[in-house]
Amino acid sequence: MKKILVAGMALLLFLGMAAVLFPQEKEFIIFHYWTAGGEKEAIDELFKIFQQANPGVKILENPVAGGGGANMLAVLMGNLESGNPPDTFQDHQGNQQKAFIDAGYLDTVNDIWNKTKFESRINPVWVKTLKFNGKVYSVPINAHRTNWLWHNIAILKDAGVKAPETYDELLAACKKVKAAKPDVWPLSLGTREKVWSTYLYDMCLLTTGGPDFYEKANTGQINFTTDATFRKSMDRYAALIPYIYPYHATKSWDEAGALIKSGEAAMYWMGDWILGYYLAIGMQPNKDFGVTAIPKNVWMGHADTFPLAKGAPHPKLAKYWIEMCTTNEAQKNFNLKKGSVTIVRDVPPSVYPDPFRQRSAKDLASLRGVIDGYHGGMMTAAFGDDMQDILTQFLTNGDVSSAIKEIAASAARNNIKTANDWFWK
Amino acid sequence: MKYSKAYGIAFLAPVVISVGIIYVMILWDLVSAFTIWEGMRATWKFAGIINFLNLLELRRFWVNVQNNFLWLIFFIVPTTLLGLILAYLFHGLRRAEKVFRQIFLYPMALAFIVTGALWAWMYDPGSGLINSLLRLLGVNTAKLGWIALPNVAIFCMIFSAFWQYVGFALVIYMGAIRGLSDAMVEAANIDGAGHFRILFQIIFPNVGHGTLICTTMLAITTMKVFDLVWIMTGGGPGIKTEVLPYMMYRMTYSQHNVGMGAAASVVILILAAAMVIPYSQWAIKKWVR
Repeated sequence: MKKILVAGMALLLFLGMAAVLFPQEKEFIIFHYWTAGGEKEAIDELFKIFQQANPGVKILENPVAGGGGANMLAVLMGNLESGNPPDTFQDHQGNQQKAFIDAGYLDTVNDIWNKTKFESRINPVWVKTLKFNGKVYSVPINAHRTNWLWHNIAILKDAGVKAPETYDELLAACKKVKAAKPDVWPLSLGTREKVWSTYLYDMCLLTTGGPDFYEKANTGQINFTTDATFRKSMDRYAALIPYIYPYHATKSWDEAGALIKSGEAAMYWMGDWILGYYLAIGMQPNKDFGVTAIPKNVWMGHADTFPLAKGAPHPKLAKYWIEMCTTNEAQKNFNLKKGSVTIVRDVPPSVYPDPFRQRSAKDLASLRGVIDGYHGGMMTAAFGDDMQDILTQFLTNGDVSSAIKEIAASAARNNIKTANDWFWK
Repeated sequence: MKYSKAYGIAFLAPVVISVGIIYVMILWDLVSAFTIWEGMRATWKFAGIINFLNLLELRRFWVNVQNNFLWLIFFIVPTTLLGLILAYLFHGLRRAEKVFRQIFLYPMALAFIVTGALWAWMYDPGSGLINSLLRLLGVNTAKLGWIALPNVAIFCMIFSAFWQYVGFALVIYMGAIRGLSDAMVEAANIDGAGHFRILFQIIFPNVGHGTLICTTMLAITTMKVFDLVWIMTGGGPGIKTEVLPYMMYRMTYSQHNVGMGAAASVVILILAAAMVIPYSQWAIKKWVR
């Protein structure tokens, strides 16, 4: 009797374990780090659409909190390397995605792109940074613009300054604001997360040499030590330093943005996600703050993408998700909540409630596009990480020659010229 | 109670296994430092000491070593000294000693992450506690950037660690001083020796074991400090406050260069061993009878 009982319990235990270990067909596993307010609502919109088409499927979100995704990436890397991939996960583009591709973690989705005629509906820059040797592995869901200059309207008016639209106007505005209002810092900056120092770097490259030079510089196709345009860009960056808020090392990106509201700073170079923050702290667009694009003939930004994991436990559901993200409805619902704009051109700019996103969508549909250095994946992981330290160090002393030397050394040590071959093919 | 070998092995097994895993990981780390990695994927291709050579070529590596040495000097010496002085001062007070001991020991209950977050807020040049208080007293704080100032940042950081660990040194020395015979000190008092002489010529030489424990633990802490740097400045401004463990983390997880991260960890191990082992041997010989 006892033996039967024990055998029965062992069987039950085994069945229980088996049930847990074998993937349920009714599950969808997705990794992301959109846990903050605004972000969570956005991805919930996608889940709504997904759930309607796939009722009875349980969505396992596996969100790992921690902005910027550093924590999620660590968990994800472990899972991918141990052969335990999710169905899809949140990724960027360019070199960030290439790292996954080289390690063999992704599968191609050319069939989905062809079926939905995706390539013809988007700005060519997305194709350039998502197509590797003719193969695509993911679908971008949102477009964040980063070449925005936000400013406090009252301060600029008091100083008699027009909102700048070029680098020269920006430098002149900084000088004028400093002269008219010595207590106000012309340009705000927060380098608690060091990555924002690369945003100003991208701006200087773009405005000095134009979009082609910008792409060459970030992918290591120039000789950093001898290139005259590069030196000019760094000189221009150095020229801004005396007008930048000096204690940026202690400010995060939103705290630095808040300096515009408190009147301690006049202007702020940041991506469009700060719009949600400004609205949340009670500032009124075009009354308290305004925004210009520098330069106004280029759309610079980056996208979040969903790639197809190789060996995904539920490939049909994964493919459904990816195809769903190419549709106008999914893109529109997601981006309305997220604060970015859709990748596809078919959604009219008028759906956005604020004038800045309307402009971003219009510009994305018509202007030349470039991807930003770090978040966009123009820089390789190692080079981009080095750049963060080199540039924050540069911000403390404005030493152009030493910075150029370090950048050249990092580029050589990390072999970025050959690593970026895929971009130029 | 009968000793049963089987039970002994059964109960020791979990501990031995977990410690064994740690040692296997250390071994794995040592091996990784000598191989090439592609991103996060191990290739197990033997590459000699190239990871170490790359490391030594980095200006960043030497800045980190310098910062670690600054930590060694400016963290260990003041903490030990103040711990000794305070232990001597509180030794005489009977009941108040317990109160003071608790007050100074409270910071030790905090994790470095909490201490770091706390002091980062206090040091904030705009709205931090320190500058706000100074402004109340009429001081112009425009130039007082604390941890935002490149040359002062690391000392501000070391000060927060010092604040946390003074209690530790205090408690170690209190225990050590209590073990001394009162007769020695009373004799010195009768002879008219001043406090300084008593402290440094009588007490200090006789609490050698306390000093050994205190400085060794503090030295190990300085070689390990990561979370304080992470939360307070992220190594900034620039790399002015970066230390080797932090660089090791960035190399491995942000730059996906596991080989160099492992090489950095080996360097940390060597530096720590080179400091702690000879020092302990010397100190044991000198101070512990």
